[in-house]
Amino acid sequence: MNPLFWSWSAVTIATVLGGFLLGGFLTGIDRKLTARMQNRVGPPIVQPFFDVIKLWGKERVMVNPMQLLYANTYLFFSVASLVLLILGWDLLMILFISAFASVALVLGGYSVESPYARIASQREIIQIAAAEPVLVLAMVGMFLVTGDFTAAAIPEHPRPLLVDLPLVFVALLIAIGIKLRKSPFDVSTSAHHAHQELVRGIYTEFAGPTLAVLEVGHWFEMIFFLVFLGLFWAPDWRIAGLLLTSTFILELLVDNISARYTWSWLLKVAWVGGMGLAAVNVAWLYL
Amino acid sequence: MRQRTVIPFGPQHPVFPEPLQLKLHLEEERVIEAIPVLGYVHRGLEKLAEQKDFVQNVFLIERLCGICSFMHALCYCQGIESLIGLQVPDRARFLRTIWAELARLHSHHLWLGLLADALGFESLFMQVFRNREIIMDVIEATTGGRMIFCSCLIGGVRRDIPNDLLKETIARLDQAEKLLDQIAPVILAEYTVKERTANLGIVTKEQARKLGAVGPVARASGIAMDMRTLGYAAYGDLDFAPIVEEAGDCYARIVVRVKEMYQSFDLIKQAAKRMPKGEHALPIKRLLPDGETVVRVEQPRGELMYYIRANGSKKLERVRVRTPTYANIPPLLHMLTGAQLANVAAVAVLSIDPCISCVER
Amino acid sequence: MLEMLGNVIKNTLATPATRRFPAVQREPFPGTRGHIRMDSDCCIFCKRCEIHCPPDAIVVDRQDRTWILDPNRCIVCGKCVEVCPKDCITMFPHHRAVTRVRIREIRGEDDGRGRRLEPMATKEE
Repeated sequence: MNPLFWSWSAVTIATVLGGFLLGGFLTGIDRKLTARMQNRVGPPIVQPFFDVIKLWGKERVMVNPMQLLYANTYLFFSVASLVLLILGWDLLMILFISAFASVALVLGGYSVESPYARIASQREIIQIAAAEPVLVLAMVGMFLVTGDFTAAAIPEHPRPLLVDLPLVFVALLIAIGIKLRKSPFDVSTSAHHAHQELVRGIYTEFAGPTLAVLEVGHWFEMIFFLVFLGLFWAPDWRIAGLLLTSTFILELLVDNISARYTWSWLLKVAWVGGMGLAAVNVAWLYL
Repeated sequence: MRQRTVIPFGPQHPVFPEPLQLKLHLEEERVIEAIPVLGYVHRGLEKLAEQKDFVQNVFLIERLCGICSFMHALCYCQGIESLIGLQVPDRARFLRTIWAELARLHSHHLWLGLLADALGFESLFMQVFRNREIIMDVIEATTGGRMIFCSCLIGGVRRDIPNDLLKETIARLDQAEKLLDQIAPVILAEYTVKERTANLGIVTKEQARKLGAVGPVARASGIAMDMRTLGYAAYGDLDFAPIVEEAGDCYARIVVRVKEMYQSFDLIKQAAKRMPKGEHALPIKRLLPDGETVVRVEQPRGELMYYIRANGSKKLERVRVRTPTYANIPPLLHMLTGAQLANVAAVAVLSIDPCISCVER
Repeated sequence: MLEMLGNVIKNTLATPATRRFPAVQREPFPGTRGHIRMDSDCCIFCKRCEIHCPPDAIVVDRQDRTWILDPNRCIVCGKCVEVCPKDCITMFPHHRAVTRVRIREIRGEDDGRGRRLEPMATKEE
């Protein structure tokens, strides 16, 4: 065995454990902060762990066996995309692996008869269609700046990416709002809010341990996108941390000051606003 | 032919806690047809009202509905009072007005919270419910119950509000009004809320008349119909005018209700200022109701009508209730046809502020 | 969106409006209708409360000298408190926890001149 294998294994294990703990605590902080913004006491920070443990202890009830497969696929690819990002692999490949996770979730929603889950799956596809082009453009922008598609090349770049890609960063904020399932972009399902016209949206027919898997998968997805945003100030991780904290609080703030919107409006914002901003930035780099 | 999906909206649905079922026939996300299914909470209360004596009925009638409980009791008591020819004392009339407006306030707060929730506006929902708690506290302090007031009685009211408690009540309501000042601009001017409600679910004046809309739904379509102008309780002695909007869309219905909340604060203050002295209840002695009558009051949701037939004995022959939500279901179906699924909850269902437990009794 | 921003910031800085419920509880207002209690010491078993009770929650038996309340039926309207000629029934502001247990007040035998021969008892069944 070569030493590279051992170091990769160590990074993988650390990422999985760290992602799980960080994801749970971040969700807890999210819920606590949201509660305080709504003048409530809110749950303890560790509440998401309690929730997952409780869900895990429940009887496994599934509408069909495929649900479990899709849920596990979603978790696996969410974890894989985060691990590969930390390992500094090819960004485009990482993006498609994370898209795989989303597709598994959509298939999970479609695999049941419930009209709520099916309509939410349609909406989830629209969400993917809204967010992914922005992410691809962001990666093209990163390539144009660093001359390399790998994530590992970014920290070695002398200047922070944010200096060259400010509009791409703004566009990414929209895409990440969609991915974190926050208002006004939570059309297929909400992060921690069961009340909407589609009941629980794409999660409607998942229950017990299967739902716990989805929950944990969402934590990894969230951490993945935050780390991805962190690349914008990769040379200095302290400033990157500050950037991420303020981004996270901004997303929570927007979640709390706006209503949910319709999917047609979401497409308009993501394509005209998000892709427009990113494309202008990328075109400017070409010139 | 495009594929049709049938979504059972309710009877268990997180957006709307009451058991209203709407079978929505969808093409993509557009509603082609909506079929209401009623009867999930039918409890046979009209029949039960014929079994109990007419004084006990007040307690039964109050439990027809949780939100507008006081209005039902008020309507029923007014009906019986007119049958036995009893004139309630002035102080009771004013107290009834205060409680009726408190009921309207807490109902409209509840509706505003549910609307915000249906729009996915969680923080506004929480804020509205925080403010509603002040109203609930006032209700508990003055009547002894949070939802079921139990304060209306044939011949007056069951308990008086002493003057110092009245002063405290007004101070608390001032606080609630200030908190409403923070919310009203959000619901009336916030971009996402306005975009999602304006020009949607339109009911024109002619349609509202034809479909038999009542209450805020009718008023938002330009029909100045408010039963309070009949002058029952103390409304004849207070200054107010029905709030009317012309647009007839969901946003207009929001505007009407928010303005009505301010109107209720104003009416309570007016009533407290002009509160006459004297006793608050008259004994019924051995009077028994005879004959038949129709009574109408303005509920938070619109016109409430009671038909009471008595035969000179303790038990009534018939008590028939027509609730405003029942009248507003045809306009609801009109709004639903052609609506987007995302707008079903917020724009259509909640804009008529349905109360299913009154409808089905 | 900015209309709500001020509120959100104000909320974040203010102390939360909610309580940690089972640990911290609000005292009910003095006039709240919480639950009723009967003091069997002065009850004369006249049955007025039974006759007036709207949901038929009270059953009084003169022979057995018992007064039974079914808390599951009771709507805490306070009618019995109003009609009791001896003011034996009192309204308390605290809510009683939901229960299926019926409360039976038994007054022991007396010698007809107000002296009790057996002690009274409150039984929950």
